[in-house]
Order: sequence, then C-alpha cells, then structure tokens
Amino acid sequence: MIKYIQLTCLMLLSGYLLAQSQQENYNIKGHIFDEGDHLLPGATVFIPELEEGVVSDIDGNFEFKNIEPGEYIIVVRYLGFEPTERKIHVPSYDPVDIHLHGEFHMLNEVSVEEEKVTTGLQTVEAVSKDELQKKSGGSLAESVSNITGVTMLQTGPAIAKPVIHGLHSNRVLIMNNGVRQEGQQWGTEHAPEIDPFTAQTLKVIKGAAAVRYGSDAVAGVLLVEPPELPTSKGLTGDVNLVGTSNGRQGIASVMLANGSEKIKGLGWRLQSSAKKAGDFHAPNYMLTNTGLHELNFSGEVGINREKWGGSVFYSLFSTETGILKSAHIGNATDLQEAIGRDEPFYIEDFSYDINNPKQDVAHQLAKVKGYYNFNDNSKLSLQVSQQVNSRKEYDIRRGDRDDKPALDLKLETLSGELVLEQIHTDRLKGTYGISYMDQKNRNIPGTGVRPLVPNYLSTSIGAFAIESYGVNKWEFELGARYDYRRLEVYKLDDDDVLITPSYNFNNASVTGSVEYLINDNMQLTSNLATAFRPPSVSELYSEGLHHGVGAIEEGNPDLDSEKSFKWVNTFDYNKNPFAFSTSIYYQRIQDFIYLEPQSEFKTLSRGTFPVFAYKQTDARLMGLDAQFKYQISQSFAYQAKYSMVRARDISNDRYLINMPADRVENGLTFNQDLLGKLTDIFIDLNTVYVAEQTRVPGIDYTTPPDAYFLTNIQAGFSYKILNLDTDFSLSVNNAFNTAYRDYLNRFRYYADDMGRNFILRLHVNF
Amino acid sequence: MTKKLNLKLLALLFALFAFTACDDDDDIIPEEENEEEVITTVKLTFTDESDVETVFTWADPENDGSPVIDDITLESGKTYELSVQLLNETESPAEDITEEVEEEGVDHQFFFSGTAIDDLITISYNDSDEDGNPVGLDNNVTILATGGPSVLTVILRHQPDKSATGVSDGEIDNAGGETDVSVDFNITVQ
Repeated sequence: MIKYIQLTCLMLLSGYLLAQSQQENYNIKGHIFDEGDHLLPGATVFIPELEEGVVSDIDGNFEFKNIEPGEYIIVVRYLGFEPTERKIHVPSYDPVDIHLHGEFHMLNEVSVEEEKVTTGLQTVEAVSKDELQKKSGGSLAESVSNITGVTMLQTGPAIAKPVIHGLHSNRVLIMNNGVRQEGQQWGTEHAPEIDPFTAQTLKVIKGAAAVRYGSDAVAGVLLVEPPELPTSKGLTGDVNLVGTSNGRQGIASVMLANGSEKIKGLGWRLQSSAKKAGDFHAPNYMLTNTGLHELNFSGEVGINREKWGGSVFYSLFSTETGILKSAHIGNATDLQEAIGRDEPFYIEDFSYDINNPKQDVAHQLAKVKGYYNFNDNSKLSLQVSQQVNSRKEYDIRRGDRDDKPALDLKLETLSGELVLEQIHTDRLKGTYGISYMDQKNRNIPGTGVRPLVPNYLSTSIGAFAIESYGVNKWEFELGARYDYRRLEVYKLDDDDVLITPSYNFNNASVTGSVEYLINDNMQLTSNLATAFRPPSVSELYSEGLHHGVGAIEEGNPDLDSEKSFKWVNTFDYNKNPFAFSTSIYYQRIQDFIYLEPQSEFKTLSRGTFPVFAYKQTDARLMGLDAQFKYQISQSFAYQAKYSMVRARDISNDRYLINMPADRVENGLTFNQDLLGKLTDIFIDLNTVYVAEQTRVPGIDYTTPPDAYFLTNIQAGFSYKILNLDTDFSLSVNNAFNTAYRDYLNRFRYYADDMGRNFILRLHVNF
Repeated sequence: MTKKLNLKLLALLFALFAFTACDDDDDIIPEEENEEEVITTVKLTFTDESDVETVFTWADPENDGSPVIDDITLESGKTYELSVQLLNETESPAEDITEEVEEEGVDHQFFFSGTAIDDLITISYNDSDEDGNPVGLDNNVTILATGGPSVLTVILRHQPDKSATGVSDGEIDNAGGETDVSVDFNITVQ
C-alpha cells in the first residue's frame, strides 16, 4: 500500500521538475527483478538528486525520460523488499537491471524517517541520506531529533540521548545494524555509543514495537541502518569534513565500498570517523571542560546472492567526553548555590583539554549474519553478535586518584536471532523468530569507590510470530511474542558479604495494526501494541550519591516489569501543493518506574542529602505530532512541525517529571537546481520555539526554564571538483546568540545552552 | 555450493560464537572495594592557653548516615586554638585524610558558619597554603559571649576560588567549589 502513496508523492514531485537545460538529454530504461529473476511490477524507482520517480510497469519495466548526462544514484523500493541503490551513468546503452532482496519489514509500525526537506512530507519511506548529510557531524540523538515527536535529553553540549514521545533511556530501544544496542543505557547522562556516520538511514518507530524487537521498546525503536554492501565491482565512497566555530570542532569521516568481479555478490565497506572539540560556549561565557574526542571505525564484508548470503561486521566507537566542571557539586547546598548564580562558577579560557570530571567510553560490536532462501517463498536468516561496552567515569578526587576511574563498568553481551520469513500467499505473509541474549556486567575492581550498580548475569530468550495480510485498500498485521529473562545479581552488602538475589521475568506482548488507503492522497494507520521492560539493575540495586544532582538514589529490589500499552493513529495527506501528516497517541504504562523524593533526609559528613527511592506507579502519556508542508512555488517551500506530550502519574495524581515541552518549528526553503556551475543550491531558514514546561510535579530543585526561540540558517550548493560532486554548506545555529536553557538539559541548573555556532560542511561522494 | 554445505556453514558459525560465549563467569563475584575518599569523622581539638586539649568529634564510622555528634562546650574568658582533623574510619586502621588536605592546601579551605559565629565565638585562620592563603586546619577562636546551644557548621570546600572577595577572611559566599565536608555541631559557651 505504501507504494501507492509513494507513487503519488513521486508523481507530484516530478511535476515540480521542469527540465531547464538546453543540452541533449537521454532516457534511462531498466527492469526490476526479485531474487528469483521474476520481473516486479509496481516498484518505485526514484532518483533523489532529481526528485524524480517512476513506477515499474506490469512487465517490471521502468523508464526515465529526458535526463541530463551525468552520474545518478537510483533508489528502488518495493513492499517487502529491502530498498536498493544503484549508481548509473547517463547516457547508458545497457538497460539498468536491478534485483531486490526480500526484507519483510513490519508494515504497520508507524515509521517516520528523516527525509530530504525538499522531497515533501511523506511519513512513508524516503531517502534520508541527504538529510543526514545536511546535518552531519552531530550526535546520534541530534541526528534523529529532526523527526517530529523526537527530542533530546542532554547533559551539557556533548552528551545527548534520544527521547521519543517523552520517554528515553531504557524505554527507547536502539537497533544498531540489526542488533539491540546494549550499553549502560540506564544512566540519563550515558549517550548511545553509536557513530551516526555509519548510518545510511535513521528510522524511528513511534509505536511500542516490542513484538518484533523484544523488551524495552516501550516508547519506540530507533533503527540505525548502514548502507547495503555493494554486489558488483565499482569503488564508491563518501568523504565528510565538518568544522564548527562553537567548540572549535573538527570532524572527518571517510567511507569506501567496493564489490568483486571474480566472486559473485562479494562486497566490502570500510568507514572511519574522528571528532575533536574543545570547550563549547554559551552566549555569555565558556562552558569549561565540555570538549570531546571521538574515534570510530566500522567494516563489513559479505556475499549477497539470490540463494544465499552472509556478512561479517565489526564496529568500534570510542569517546572521551568532558563534563562541565561547574556541574560537579558536593551536596544539595552546592546545587542551590549553583542555581542561584547568574554564571557557572568555573569559567576559564578556551581549551581542548579534557579534565575530570569526564567519561571514557568504548563500544565494540562484532556481528555475523547469514541468510538462505529455500525457495521463492521462504527465507531463513541467522544473526549472531557480540558487544563489549566499557565505561569509565572520572571524578575530581583528592590525592593522586584523578587517573583512577570512580566508575569502571564492562558489559558484555552475546545475542543471536533466527528468523524465518514465509510468503504463504500473495496476500498473507509471516515472520517467525527466536532470539537469545546472554549478558554479563562487571565492575572492574580498583576504583576506590563502592559500585553504583552491582555485577550481574542475565539471560533472555524470546519467540515471536507476526502475520500480515493485505487486501485491496487494507493491510492488517497481528503479532505476538513471549520473553523470559533471568537476572542474577552479585553484590556485596553493607558488611561486604556476598548476596546473590535472582529474578525471573516472564512477559507476553501483542501487536495489531491496520492500514487503510482512503484514496490516492490519504492514508490512515492505526497501531495497538503492548510492550514491557524488566527493571534495570540500577533501578533494583543502585545505591549512593548521584553527584550531578546532590541526591541519594536508592534502588528497590521488589520492582516488577513495566507493562505498556500504546495506541498510535497516523493520518497522511499528500496532494499537490500540500502535504500533511499527524500522529495521535495514547499510552498507559502500568508499574512505571520512577524516582520518588522521600520525606527523610540522610546526614553524611558531606552534608544533608535528599533521598530518592525507585517506586512504581501507573502513568498515562498522550500526545500529538504534526507536520505540514506547502510547496509555494517551484523554488519555495514552507514547512511546519508541532509536537506535544501530556504525561500524568495517575496513582499520585500529578504530572510526570522531565517531559518535553511543546515545540513548534517553522521552516522556509529556497531551492534552485542550477546557477552557473553550481547545482542544488538551497537556503533554509528555520525557527524553533520551545514553550516553558508548566506541567511539572513540583518535586524539582527549581522551576523549569523560560520558553525560548531560536533561529537557524543553512545555505549550500554542489560543485564539481575534479569531476567529483562536492557539496558545500554553511549553517548558523542559534543565529541571534540567544541565551536559553532547556528543560531537558540536565545542566539547566548550572549553565546556559550553547551559543551561536557556525558550521561549515564539505561532502564528496564518488 | 550445495544447500547442505551452506546450512552447515551457518551452523558452524553459530557454534563458534556459542563456544566463545561460554567463557567462565568466575569474575562475576565482586571484589571488596575500599572507600578511599570517604570522610567519616571530623575531629575538632580546642587547645586553651594552658595547653589543655578538649576534643569533640562528629563521627559516622559506618558511613551510613547515623553520625554520633559531640556537643561542644567552651568556657568564656579563654582563647582557644582550634585544629581540625579528618578521618576515614571505614578503613582499619583509620586513614588520616588531614594529610591529603594539607598536601593539597591550595585546593582546600575550611569555612566556619552557623548561628554561633559572631554571636558566641569568632574563628580566624591561623595557617596558610603555598600561595599564602588560609586552609583552616589551624585556627584561633575568640569567645564573644556566653550562651547556647547554638550551631557551629564546619565546611570543607574542594577547589574554591580563594582569591574571590572575602574568601580568605572566611566568607563562603563567593568561594564556590565543591563541598567535601559539611557537618553541624551544637556549641555552648559557659
């Protein structure tokens, strides 16, 4: 069904495009096949650069007319198959024949992808590489926060976590290259250990997608997907260089990929990126000790054939991140003093040095996957992966202990998944799978600090089945899943005696979706899903002082799994020159785990501390995301986005803390295809208004910050250098250098957010 | 390649990973971690003109928030020298933290506040760090009046700005830094 919408969108888009060139143009012809060499009718074939799309006819043929000579990437999409890209030369005298590989992606989860601003407002799949490219250099959370309904939870300028519909951390599942990301996600100041440069697309599933992905997908799922391996010979690559004025940051990323002539279907890809930033600054002062260093690498080699295929993937993410020095406090009195100050206490000159407090994090992922097609209708795939996450946190300490981490955790995760995809009939398809995960978390001895979270072993087993059925304008999906998790905790009690409590969590989840194509311009999707999340070991057993907020947090060993029920309804409208999309959701979370302030205080030699204990309550979240786009003329487009969430703690009859405030974005884009030797010229003017969060439970240290309004401008063009397409762009974020604080920045107590930032980007694609 | 061989290869890969996963988990047993930087005990030694020492302590040896606090009693008409000692009693024998503070004197400073200050007593610094700024391990106490009980709060700041206004005179308002110690004593002047 998606393909009809796409077809509509693409046709509309192609309507905008009028060939401006006087030179001789050519036609591109080709065929689309499935894995069994059957011609596929109805596949969308899209040239992002030209914003032009066609649909393959009944015999699988497609044709683009009147195309200027040059190199283009064409993207082919078809329901149930993996999107496939191919580089083509125009003129080309051979037909372009493309084989698609089965994917069986979940149709009805509400998936909104990043998209190129100029391609319209599809909530269905679109090419997202461009938008990633346009905003390259940011963190993963920053890269996805362009999606309506997705915001960031920040700890200063360099640490950010994605927030989907008001929820974050353990309630957002991140699938990195098909593998559940297993880091120390319980910490609000622990950013996902993923390099956005590895991604070809970033997708956010806003429904509770637990049936396919397992526990923790309470708010939604963030999918980080690398490009496909090439299957034929031809070196391709990607180089990104980014420089920012704020933080005097330099970022470089290189990607190379090639296929083999001798061995059919063999391809490889190597990618690496590096980042170095010094202290960032707010409009009126330096944010001392907020620099970061990052070094990442990934590589994949594999064979993709019609009958079978497989690949080996490895990635390393490593970062050293400074924590704002002024945010390191001793007790609640210090925090009150910090809140009362106009400026942070420590303001020093710019420096690239990263001093304590800081985080040192490394994440490695190794993955082997293979697939086998028994016949045209059934595909079996197996994936096994190993992750090693190491997190060291350094504090400001007395004596010579600055080089000794105050927290030193190593988390090792082995996981495997076996999935069978089966086409029963033209209309009925099924996906069945089993998954396994084995985890070990250890405190590396020698910190001189009692561990914040204990050691543990955990084993999870899950099984799921999903059936989808499509008829005429309707598409249905039903799924169910069962999970078992065993958790064994190894902890020394107050008297240093080993205790080994263990837990067994059993959870069932179900999902049901329906998609209805009202007409060629309108589509309605409704998804009902349950999800669950066993308590994390930090919620069960954390003990001690949380330095960032000068509070004592006490775990609760009696916590049960959170159980969520989420209903998302999406309506899409797309008719020239308007596009509109809105999602309305309702979520109930039973046994929602949160920190409750306790009436007693604890008196330590460091002072008197408020005590927070993990408790469970029933929570209700409701909200709305909306996007609107109006193509004013061939060159001008207007776009607006709005998101809001209302979250209540039902049992205690009050608001939930730390929910994103209402947010409105407005954008005006100017596009010109050609100007002299420059192509793809664009100017974006974007404004962001974030309201003051007035819906708070009244248990915070201070009132939420005021509303703020930011203006961002970006302009860019493409130019051929040595026959290589090179994209240049210059951005100014926070153009008016507005001093502001965001409610979802944990450092709002201590300092203003980042000031004006000029960003220069250069991107070469070959 | 035959179908069977491919399946065998998949199985082999799986077995390889399963094998590497089954390493032993002996290292899961946590090791005892000595709390190295905890200050459990604040010892105030008041020495009068005749070198008579009186010691009052604030002690939470288990570091679990259950301190035992001595009530301070001073006599009017006397002047005292006050020295401050810090201990970590979670270790055995107890570790003297005072030495670390002394070594890193430029990064540390004690402050004395509470209702007793300027009401019953005043406390002035009687020591200095390498830069000539006070640390507050040794001090002079002047009795102003009889009365009490009032509160004497002893605060140790890590990395304060000693050059900020009033800080070297013992005023904490502009000191900043991070609080390492903040304990309250009851004090009576007879």
